[in-house]
Amino acid sequence: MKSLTGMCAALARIDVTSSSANPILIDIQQLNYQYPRAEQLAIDSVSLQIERGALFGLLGPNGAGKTTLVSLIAGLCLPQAGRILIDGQTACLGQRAVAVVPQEYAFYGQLSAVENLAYFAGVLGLTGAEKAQAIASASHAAGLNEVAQRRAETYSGGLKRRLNFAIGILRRPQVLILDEATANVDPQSRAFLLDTIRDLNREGVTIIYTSHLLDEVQQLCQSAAIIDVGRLLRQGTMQELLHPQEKTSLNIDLDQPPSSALLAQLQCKLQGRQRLHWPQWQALDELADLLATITSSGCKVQSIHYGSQSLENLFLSLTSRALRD
Amino acid sequence: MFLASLIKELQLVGRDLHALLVLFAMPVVFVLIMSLALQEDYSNRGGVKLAGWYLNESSDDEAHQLQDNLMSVPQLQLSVAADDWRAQLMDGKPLFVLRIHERFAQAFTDTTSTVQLTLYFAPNAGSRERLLIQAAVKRALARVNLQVFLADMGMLDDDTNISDLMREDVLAVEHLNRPGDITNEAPTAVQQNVPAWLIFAMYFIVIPIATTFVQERQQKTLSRLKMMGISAWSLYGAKLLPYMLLNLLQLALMLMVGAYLVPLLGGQALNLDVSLSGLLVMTLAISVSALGFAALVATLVRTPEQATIVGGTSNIILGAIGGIMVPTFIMPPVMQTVARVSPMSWGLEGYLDILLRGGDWRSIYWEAGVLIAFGLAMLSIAIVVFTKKRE
Repeated sequence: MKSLTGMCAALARIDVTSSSANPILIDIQQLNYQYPRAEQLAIDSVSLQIERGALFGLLGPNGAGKTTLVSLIAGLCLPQAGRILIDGQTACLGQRAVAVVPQEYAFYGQLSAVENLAYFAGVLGLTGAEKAQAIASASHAAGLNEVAQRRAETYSGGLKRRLNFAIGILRRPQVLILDEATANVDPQSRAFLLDTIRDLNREGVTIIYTSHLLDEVQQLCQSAAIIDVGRLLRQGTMQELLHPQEKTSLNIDLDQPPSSALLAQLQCKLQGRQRLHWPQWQALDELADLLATITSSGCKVQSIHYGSQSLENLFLSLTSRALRD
Repeated sequence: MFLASLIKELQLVGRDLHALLVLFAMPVVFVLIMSLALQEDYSNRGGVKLAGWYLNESSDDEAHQLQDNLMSVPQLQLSVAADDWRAQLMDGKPLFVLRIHERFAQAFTDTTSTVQLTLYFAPNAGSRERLLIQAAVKRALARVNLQVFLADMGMLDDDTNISDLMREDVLAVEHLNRPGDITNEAPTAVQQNVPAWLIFAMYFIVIPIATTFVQERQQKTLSRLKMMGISAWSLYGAKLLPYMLLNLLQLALMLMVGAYLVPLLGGQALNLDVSLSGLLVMTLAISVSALGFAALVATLVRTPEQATIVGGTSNIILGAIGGIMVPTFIMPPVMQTVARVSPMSWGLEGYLDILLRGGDWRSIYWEAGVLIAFGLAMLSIAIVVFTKKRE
């Protein structure tokens, strides 16, 4: 591990402001990864490109492979097949270009924010004035100045998330990976973090953002990929993902699960247990007949949604199940 | 990177009050209890004399000669019996009473005479003490018998040396020892318990080290550090060095307890007029072995509960085998051999080489070398397992 780290330190002399003719910063090619003693692949033939300076969302339910993919990009795991190139260099452990803010509170509760930042800055090799500047900058960016001297174990969930985030941005990376950065966070801290993320992205940091919160990803990210069971289902800009061929979707929520006869008659998909879904519905004048058919089957309509595709609908249509299943 | 890690570990250790309490208070309590409770038992095995009384009912020269012979036995401490000697003997003080009957001298001239010498033992006299005292009395009796015989033969004069005539000089005693062997020279209670429980406490660092390691793994702090490029040797080194400092503080505390606190409570004082450099070298070697062991346990366990159970249980087993709870000098030879499996026994023998046998750092090179090799081997295995494991 030491020699690998040394090699990466020598190769990856990258800073945020470096420019390159290649707009693709992260190039993932036919990636396969299987955990030891696991029966199936955790990542299965995933190919993905992330543009330089993008704010990229990575979506998927629990167990989809998001964290595994993050670990592979960070160099924590080695793929069995395929490769990951970051600005033309193979991803490896200790690479300076990539920083990860994990989902867990990966710091020391018995230490204060300042002490935590000082420690991790030391691990990153920062010393002297550069170290002090990095600590001050990260603390300020994460809004921790007022609580910096308190032990981290006394922080609220929101402050802990901010400290976790601050450690990740101690040395401005070229790629910042945020794994569920706003999970279990109060609205104020959430808004603060999202604003800070946007600011970082405007400064040129490429951000990969994983989350369960589809609304958040839809608002924050310019592009996204959806993975499930280790496979890439769809990738593209938000425009491409949500408005394919300018067609819209129709969702009708019922008060009870529909019968299979009704589903066959209506020629639609079932999302969850009680939602009828048409990915593309253009015959608005036939809506009344549709509703009459549903009502005559004994079901009652609870809500109707007709409009632009949402990420949730896209995901449901791709996987035939809810994101939180 | 290493300095930052070291500072962080020192901060964490300093704020873990529960761990500090266990590492310092626990051995102090054990030393006090065991040193005071077993003081008499140890003194009967060690260099302290076996106390006894004599009741001389005879005025004959032979009786006085026997008395003088016994007075010169280095393992015995004789004094005149009190009037209520039976009652005091039943209470265990003294350990024995030797009654020389009125017609003691008659035993040497009249082969049909009845018992003229009776040896009474206290209820708490152990079998080894009884055998030792009996042997001393018989030897003293044999000397008197020889003197009487020589006098009868007209061969006893002022120049006669009974010791030479006893020809005990034909017996040579050699105690074979390999380096690191357990010797059966008995320490005092405080000489045994201070180093024993110090070693036990030093090895107890396995629990806080393993627990913090597991917590770092579970919280993904370890993964974060790996992604930042920290090396395994830097990670382990910074994590273990503060505990080496703790081990040295434990040494200082336990020596003070043995030298000053135990005697305040009525026990024997630990003699500190020994090689302090030897103690320091031995402590560092034991520390290396304990830290290596702790590193391996920390790498293998998966939860804080496992850390506590595995760390605590292994400590107790190593201590039981290694002569911490039960001294090796009272173990049968087979168990003394088994004791050498435990690194704690090597550490204890090293300490006894200094505290009991007056050695210095040159006397303990073998024990120290074995312990350092053990510690480094454990640490190396831990790092290999760590680098191969998936987080």
